[in-house]
Amino acid sequence: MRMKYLIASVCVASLFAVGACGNKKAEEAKAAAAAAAASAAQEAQAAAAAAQQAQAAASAEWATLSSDLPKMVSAIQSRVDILTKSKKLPANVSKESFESAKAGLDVINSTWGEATAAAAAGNSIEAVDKARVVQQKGQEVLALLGMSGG
Amino acid sequence: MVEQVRNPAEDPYAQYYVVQRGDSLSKIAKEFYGDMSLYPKIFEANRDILDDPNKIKPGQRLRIP
Repeated sequence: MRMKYLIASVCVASLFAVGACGNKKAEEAKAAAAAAAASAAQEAQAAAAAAQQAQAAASAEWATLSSDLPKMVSAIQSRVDILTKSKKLPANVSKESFESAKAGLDVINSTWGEATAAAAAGNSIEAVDKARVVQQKGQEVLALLGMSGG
Repeated sequence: MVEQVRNPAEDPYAQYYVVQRGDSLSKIAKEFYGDMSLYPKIFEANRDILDDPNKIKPGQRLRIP
C-alpha cells in the first residue's frame, strides 16, 4: 500500500515537472523571438539612420559640385569652340589630343545632364556619383587642352 | 613662354596670362589658340580692362577664354 502511494506520488511529480519544463521552453522561445525582433528593429533603425546620413552628406557635396563643375564645363566648352575655329592648333595641343578632348566634352555634357536630372529627382547620391565622373573627365580634358597647368 | 597665373579666389578653371613686354593680343592668341587671327576672343573676354585690342600693357592680367 505504501509502495503504491509512493509510485503514484512520483508519477504526479513527474507530470508537474514535464508541464513546468514545457512552459519554460515556450517562454524561452518567446523571449528569443522578442530579442530577435528587437535586434532586427535596431538594425533597420541603424540602416535608416546611415542612409539618411549618406543622403545628407551627398546633398552637401552636390551643393559644392553643382556650383563648381558648370564653371569647368563652360571653360572647356569655350576653349573647344575657339580651337574648332583655329586654323592651326597651339603647340601644346596635338590633333589627337584635341579630338579626345572633343569626345570627352560630349561625355561630360551627357553625364552632367544625367547628374542634374538625378538631383532634380531628389537623388543626391546618384547626382554626386555622376558629378564625380564629370569632374574626373573634366580634369582629363583640361589637361588635353593644355589648360590644367599654372 | 606661355605664362599662366591663377588666383585661388577666382574661377579655378579660368586661364589667365600676364602680359609681358613685347606682347600683343595676336601673339597671345597664337600661343593659346595656335591662330593669331583669333585675338578678338581674348579682347572680348577682357573688355573690362581693355579698350583697344592694340593697346595692352605689361603686367595686365588677361583672362584667356
